Amino acid sequence: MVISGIYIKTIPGAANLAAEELGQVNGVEVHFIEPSENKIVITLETDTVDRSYRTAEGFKDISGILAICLVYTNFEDEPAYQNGTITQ
Amino acid sequence: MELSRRTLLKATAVSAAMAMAGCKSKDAVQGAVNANTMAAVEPDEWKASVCRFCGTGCGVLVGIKDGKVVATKGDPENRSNKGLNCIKGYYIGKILFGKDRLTKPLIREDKSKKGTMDGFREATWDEALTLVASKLKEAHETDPKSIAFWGSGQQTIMEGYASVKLWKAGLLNNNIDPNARLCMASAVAGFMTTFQSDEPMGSYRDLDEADVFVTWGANMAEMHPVLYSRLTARKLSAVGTVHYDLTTRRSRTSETADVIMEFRPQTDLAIANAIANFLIQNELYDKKFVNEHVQFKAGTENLGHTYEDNYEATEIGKTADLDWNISFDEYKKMVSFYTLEKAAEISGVAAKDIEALAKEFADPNRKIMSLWTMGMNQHTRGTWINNLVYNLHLLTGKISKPGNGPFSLTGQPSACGTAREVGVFSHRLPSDLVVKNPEHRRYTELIWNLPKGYLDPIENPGYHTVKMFRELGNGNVKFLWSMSNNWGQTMPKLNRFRGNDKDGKGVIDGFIVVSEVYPTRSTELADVVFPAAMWVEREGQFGNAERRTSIFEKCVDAPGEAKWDLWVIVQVAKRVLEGKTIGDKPAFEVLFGSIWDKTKNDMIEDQRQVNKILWDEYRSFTNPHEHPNQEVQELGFKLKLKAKQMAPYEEYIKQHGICWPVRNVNGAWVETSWRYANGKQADGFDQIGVEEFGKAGKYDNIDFYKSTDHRPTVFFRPFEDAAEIPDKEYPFWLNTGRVLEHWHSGTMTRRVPELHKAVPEALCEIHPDDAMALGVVTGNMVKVVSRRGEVTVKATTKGRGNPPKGMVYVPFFAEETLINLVTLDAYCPISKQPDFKKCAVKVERV
Repeated sequence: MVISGIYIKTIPGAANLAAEELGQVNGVEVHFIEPSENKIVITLETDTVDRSYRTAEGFKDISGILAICLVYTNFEDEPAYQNGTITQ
Repeated sequence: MELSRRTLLKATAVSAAMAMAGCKSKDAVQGAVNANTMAAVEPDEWKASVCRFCGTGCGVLVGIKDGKVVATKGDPENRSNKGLNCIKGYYIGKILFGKDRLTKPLIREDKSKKGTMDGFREATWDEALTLVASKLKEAHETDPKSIAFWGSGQQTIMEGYASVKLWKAGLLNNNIDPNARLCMASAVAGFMTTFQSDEPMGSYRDLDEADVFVTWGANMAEMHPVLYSRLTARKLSAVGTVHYDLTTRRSRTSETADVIMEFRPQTDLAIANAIANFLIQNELYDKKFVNEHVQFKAGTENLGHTYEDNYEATEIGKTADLDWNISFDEYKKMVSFYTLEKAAEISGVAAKDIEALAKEFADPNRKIMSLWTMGMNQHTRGTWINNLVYNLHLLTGKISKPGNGPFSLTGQPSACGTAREVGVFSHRLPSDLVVKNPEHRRYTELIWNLPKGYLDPIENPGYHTVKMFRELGNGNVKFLWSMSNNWGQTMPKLNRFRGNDKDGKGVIDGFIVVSEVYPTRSTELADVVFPAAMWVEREGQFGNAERRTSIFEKCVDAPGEAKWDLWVIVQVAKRVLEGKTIGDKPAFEVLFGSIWDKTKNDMIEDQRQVNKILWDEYRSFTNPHEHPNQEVQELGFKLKLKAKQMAPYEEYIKQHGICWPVRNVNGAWVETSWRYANGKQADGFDQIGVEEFGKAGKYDNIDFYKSTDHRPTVFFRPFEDAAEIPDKEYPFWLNTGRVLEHWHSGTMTRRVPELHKAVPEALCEIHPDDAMALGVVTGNMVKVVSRRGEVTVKATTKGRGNPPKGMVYVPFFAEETLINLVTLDAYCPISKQPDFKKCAVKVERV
């Protein structure tokens, strides 16, 4: 279980639609939308750091999203950290 | 239980993101989770750190539990990023854990296998250190010029400082240079020639206030995403904000720009001159600013190109950096050649677009920020194009003011802090001092407790990077030690520097030491490999592009026997300086005695203590007034060393990073956002610097007190063409660079499986028309061939970027696609930085 807090900025007028689309993404929970300031706050939950990265990278393809800012991530339960090594 | 933990982690994540986003609603935090409950999922400890993936220098808090890194979050107290990280931040913890980390010293037993990772055996530290010291000593005693150290903008500031001290004072040798020579040297030479002081006068705060952004050869969207999000936020919040993208290849940055000015490689020189000429011909420059603050100069022209090893010994090579004063009228006449139409003809950019940008500079009500990276610096006239962009800001007075300024972005986390500020260059000493100047050497002698005249033997600069590797290839450098870099992949014209060409055989014969964390294309060429502690496995300091120095604390132990590079430098120093004296004292004691534990006969174990002792010493280069010796105080004042004033070590930990000059205002250490601008220090202006070294009340409240006569220079620099231009035989320009997912040579990021999967191999971007003419479709393998080498790479017409017809682009991150086998090692004759952006190639379908 890897849990992240992500702050997303959109172009003006796009926050609600973008949030709706974000909400469809597996592992994403939308917590806050501020349409007047084009801001969205989400959490992302996946099983690995890699999947988190891939999912967050995919946000770029959602219409209206300008910036994806990773604020917090906890990867204590990521399997690679449990055994201390990562394979290439 | 698991649900509860998940809920708590989510609540923690949400509250952190809400705070960073400046959202106030409490409803968003799931349920009624109070702070005490959330503490249950908190790590044992959060330690302050800095991301090590680019030059932005984002603050990161590292969460540690049971001795492991388990969480990260943006550091809200670091003023460079205010709590935001890009998604590369997912991996800053993970790069520590690649399975092939180097954990034991390696000694090469079989020299015939050089070029591969075969032929090594594991060794003890003592054996490896003793071998390296004996080889260094042997080479140094045989021919002092035959040793070299290649440092890095990824060394910590104190690691860089210790390596400079060993090389320049311990071995009286200037053959020390950083990999920053490959990325920042033209910016340095530009700053020094124009302002006589290195590094930008503005700060990231300018991004929040500019009306016009000009990116000159910079793909910020991919390379500096946190700063780019600040730029786009400004565009959205301020109606009328415009972004001009000057580029030779359309990138993700071009996608969001308002005007794209796609120019023929090298012709940015003509465009910048045409803007200056337009301002002057139409009397749209700031006459009062120019009269009060600026001087004019011209310099040597027709520099030719640095193809040959002896360029510096030629007549033109010896005089390439000469300049002299001219009048404004002379400058006006010289630059008048560059009309809008002439620049359009040379560059291929529409005259109306150049005019539109010129009018932005001309409008006194528009604040302009110029931003650049490798497009301007990796350029055979890199110093000149840096000078020319400063010209525009100086002619219009758009400099050293909030929202106004030329800003050189950096690619590495400490290109500024380490390579530039402590002088890991063949011509420099700490704090903008240079070896050629007797007073600069004297000041250094005073701080390092060296007898008067002790540093006279290093008055001539040593080998700059390309010269260093050329002489290694020629067999004249017999001992090379590289640290925190990957020259076996990132040097241009690699066939020579991997020992494949006739004039590169010295690479195979020489004794090469590589300090590294993973096996790389450079460790393949090593005789000894020192396994290094990386990032938060030791305590260190980085200095970022806006002059912010930040400390990262040690969070975890290094794996196996990997050691802190600074410990290794000191251990080699201990052995190599054995028996040498400075004055009547042992040399090692004079240079490193302060951090040596005599009882244990080892370096002091406490890393905080070692860093602090060295920092206090380095700080004397920037705080002469605090020094007990009157000679230091007087000479330091004369040299204006306080212009780079640094704070005490603990202050950086307390404040989570501070931008120099840092001023003591009634006991509080206050940073400076806009140098040379008079205004309240507390608001970020350089009040104390102007009051001490300049004059308050000058026009625009600015005094360029570090510049000669307090006047920076507007230079006339003509357009001169690239070192290799496409022709019938090699009809394409080759451009190289990075991609978002991989940082530089990919040593760290390619260990991270998902980053590796996202961009698993280097692709050759090619224009669809060129592809069609060659019968190539996306996915076909092509050979990219130059006069120096070739690589086979997969072609794409749908890459991240879109090169114009006649150009191909190949990134350099992939060690299996060594595009630098193809590139050219010609460099700027002043900055000595090679041009990775332009050479001639042909493309063949395989």
